[in-house]
Amino acid sequence: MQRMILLFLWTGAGLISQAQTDKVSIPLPVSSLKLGYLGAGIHPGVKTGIEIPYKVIQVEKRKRGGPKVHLKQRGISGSLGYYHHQDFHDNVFLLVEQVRRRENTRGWFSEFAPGIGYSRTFLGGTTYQVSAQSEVTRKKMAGFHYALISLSAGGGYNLGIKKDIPLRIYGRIGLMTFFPYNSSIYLRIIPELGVSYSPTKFLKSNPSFKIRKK
Amino acid sequence: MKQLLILLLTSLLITSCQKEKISLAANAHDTFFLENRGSAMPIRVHGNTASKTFIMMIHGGPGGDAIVYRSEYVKSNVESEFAMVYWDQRNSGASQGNRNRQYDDIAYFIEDFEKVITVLKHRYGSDISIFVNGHSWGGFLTPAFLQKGNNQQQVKGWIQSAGAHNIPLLNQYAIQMLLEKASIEIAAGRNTEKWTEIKDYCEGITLPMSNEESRQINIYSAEAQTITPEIPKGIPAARDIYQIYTENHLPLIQLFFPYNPVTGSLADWLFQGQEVSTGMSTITVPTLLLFGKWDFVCPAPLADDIEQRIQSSFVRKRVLENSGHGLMAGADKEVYWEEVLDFVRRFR
Repeated sequence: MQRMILLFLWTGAGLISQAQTDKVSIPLPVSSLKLGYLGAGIHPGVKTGIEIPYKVIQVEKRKRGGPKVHLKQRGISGSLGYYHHQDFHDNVFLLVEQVRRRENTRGWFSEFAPGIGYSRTFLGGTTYQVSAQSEVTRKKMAGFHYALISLSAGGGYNLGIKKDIPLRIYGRIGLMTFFPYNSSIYLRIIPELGVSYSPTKFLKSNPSFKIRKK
Repeated sequence: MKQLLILLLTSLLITSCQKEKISLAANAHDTFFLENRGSAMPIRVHGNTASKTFIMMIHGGPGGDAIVYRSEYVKSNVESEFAMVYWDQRNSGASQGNRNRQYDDIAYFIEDFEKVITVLKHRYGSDISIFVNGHSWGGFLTPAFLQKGNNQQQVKGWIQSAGAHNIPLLNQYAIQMLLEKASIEIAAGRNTEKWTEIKDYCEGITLPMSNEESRQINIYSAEAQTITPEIPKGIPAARDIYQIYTENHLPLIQLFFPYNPVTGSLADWLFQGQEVSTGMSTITVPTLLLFGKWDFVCPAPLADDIEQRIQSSFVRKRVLENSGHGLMAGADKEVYWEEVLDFVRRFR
């Protein structure tokens, strides 16, 4: 738990240190594999997927001490996730997100990711159905299908910038809504801690690249 | 790897073929679901199932949840002797499902109720004794359930805890009580602004009340409880409720975003002035009527209407002196639960 808090603080520091940048430019993002732990201790789960960058803007701001540079990245991420909520449900979901990331020359980044997806829940206990003749049967794989909308925000550190390790460490807080749920919607906050790895021989991405000077 | 896969598949097949084992125990903690007409409703059974005696909490709202009644006191003093059944009604509490608003109708709530009892008897044996304890809206649903067909044969007794079985009568008593209390509190100089507002509103009402007026009286009645000095502890503290929810694995955020009872179609229907007094004469099961003296939401004189109408051979009425609407969790909780336990011991 202590480690998780430290990691959260670490990733949070990334958001704060956004303004500090060096003069060097930043390597272009490549496709990556992601693996995340969901739940922060309660209602644990995992999320895995890929992310493909499609657009990169290098923003250069003129400052007295020299230009400050950061990258604005846009990517598409596809994930498969699962969490277990005791006595309530297990949930398997597919999620497509647009990842909007801002990364500085020191490797710190913040990101925001709206997404849409599909969810299938499995009820957290034996489920019974009773017929009109009062016959009781157990329903196997009982659960529901939902559409889902997700919004998540967080930050992290790109080890590829300073240490040349193709790995990002990130932390996020996500808000998921499942619908149609009962007579309204279902909201769920999902914390996520994870890593994103970019193997050298992996899905080739060719993001558009622009330089914007301010 | 191949062997591992075969082993996994085999174990899956074996476990899926196993018959469900239900053991009766002194300290059971079972969670299962009833799926009916698009809704999966959780049923949590805690306590002494070996006693073969089950007390079903029929929660308030419409749109509340049942687990909120599972206080530390209940765990220590009630579940140790009997089994408590916490059933979340459709579109309430931790129930799940897709959109099923077309079933937000008393007839389907009664159907769910019947099916919950069928499932309980299927799991724990047809010889179990079931007592139904309706609180607030649950005190409308429970007599409605008892008045249908042969449902009374399924239960050993009915406990009416500050139930709302007759909305027009309830409103009449609530207005009367609010006006009387407002005069006293204004004269004493306590919360004069709020009590004057309540008094002015009540004085402006002419019967029969509209749906909006009925809802407003309900809101004022709940507010009145919080400023009535005679109620030492009107409702459980937020931290107690939070503890109950987390301990029982309820989806916390959802509880702040539930099916909205104020706009729900069932609440609309209810506040139009529904009542189940007319059918009370069909009720013959032993009955315990428990109300709070300072309950403005479901005033204590409602018990008299039930007492006069039902045909039960045993009817006991008790008005708790230091209680409002949340009588099972307030200052009189010991008295309340002792009454319940004595009743259950007698008729189980």
